[in-house]
Amino acid sequence: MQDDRTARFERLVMPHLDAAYNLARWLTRRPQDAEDVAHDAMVRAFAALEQFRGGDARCWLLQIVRNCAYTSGRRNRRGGEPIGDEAAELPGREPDPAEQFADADERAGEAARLHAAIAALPGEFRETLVLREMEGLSYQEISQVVGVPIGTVMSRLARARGRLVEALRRREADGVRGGGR
Amino acid sequence: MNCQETEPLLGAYADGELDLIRSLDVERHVEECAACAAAAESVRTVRRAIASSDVYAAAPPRLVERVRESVGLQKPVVRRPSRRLWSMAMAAAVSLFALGVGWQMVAERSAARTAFAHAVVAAHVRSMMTDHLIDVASSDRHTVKPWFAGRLNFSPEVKDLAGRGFPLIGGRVDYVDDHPAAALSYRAGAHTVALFEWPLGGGTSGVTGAWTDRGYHVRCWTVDRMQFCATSDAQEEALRSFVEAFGSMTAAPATTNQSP
Repeated sequence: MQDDRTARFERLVMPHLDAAYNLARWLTRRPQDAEDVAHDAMVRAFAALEQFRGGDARCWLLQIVRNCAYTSGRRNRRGGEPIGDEAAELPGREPDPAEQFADADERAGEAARLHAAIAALPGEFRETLVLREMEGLSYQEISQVVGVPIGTVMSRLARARGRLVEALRRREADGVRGGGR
Repeated sequence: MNCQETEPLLGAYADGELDLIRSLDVERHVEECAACAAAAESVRTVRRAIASSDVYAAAPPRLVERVRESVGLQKPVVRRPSRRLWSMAMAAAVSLFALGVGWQMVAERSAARTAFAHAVVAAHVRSMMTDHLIDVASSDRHTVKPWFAGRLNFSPEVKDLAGRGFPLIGGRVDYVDDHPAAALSYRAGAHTVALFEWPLGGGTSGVTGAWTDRGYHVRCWTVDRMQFCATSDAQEEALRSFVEAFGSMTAAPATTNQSP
């Protein structure tokens, strides 16, 4: 029966490892934490695979990822603040001279600004935005993964987007003032 | 509807989450109200910015290996292309270190490549959801290939693979990763294989690799300054066969039977 479960896991859950890692990356502070969270979530999903009775395996998995991220956050933190209120340490993008695109510097600058702006969002806004814009989850699915009513999803999304637009405008202005790159 | 009623619904409207009736009401208001139109557009701007950047982090190969080991999965044979890419990435990382640039660039290029594969899958899934797989329906490449003249500024490679088990269904024009592309549809048993093609601009080397994204397999390769991306929800073996068939077939189908 181990083989059946392994085969089922490979077919249903493994394809969503990227999604698991991406969400973990945006919910944790360091790449190593994200890897650990994603790995632990996958192992938990494997152990609980019998409980998955069909439907959207990705949503099911992302719920587990989220739980792992918040549990590990509480373990690593003494102060008891909810994880993600501080900006996650995410890799900045330095312009790369070896980059093949002609407009490398400009693209790197834009991506870095976007990256930093998303990282600076409060945790609950950030996770909602990531689930919507990077994973393409519906409001219903986000509501299921995060465990809040759809109305709350909508308002968090609106506020996340509002902050992002503001932050991008501000950073762009800063970039111009600083002479740009 | 007025602005006060519309404003809280703009996000859901831009996300396609409103029921038809409310969506039409919002649309009517947005047509007349510049402020609300701008607010809806800013939602799309955020979406485009995120979709076109490399902020999506794909699982690094060492994480994939670690997970597979933990759940008892064998190393899959068909992962060979990815492993080759991985050792190429290692070699690149070593030389990048020598330049003092660092490991992160390799990881981020990997993320960019995964986002590319995702864009290919998204284009295919969109076409199936809107029931818009083909605009020219023909299994004859002599009908499909000239159809693209005047619709694309290049002439795509259209091959007859019926002899290899992949009959041509037709074609359409699509837009993938900021490229106007020819999208050919082939049948693979009960599934469809979508083949996207576009010419590589000067300076870009294109993308080569194999991925699985949300249940769809993707294979990308370049030949003669053309980018090819094939995707399908058929078995990975079937997609591999398709790619081999396409690669080995010259434009004119052989009259003798070829062994697969």
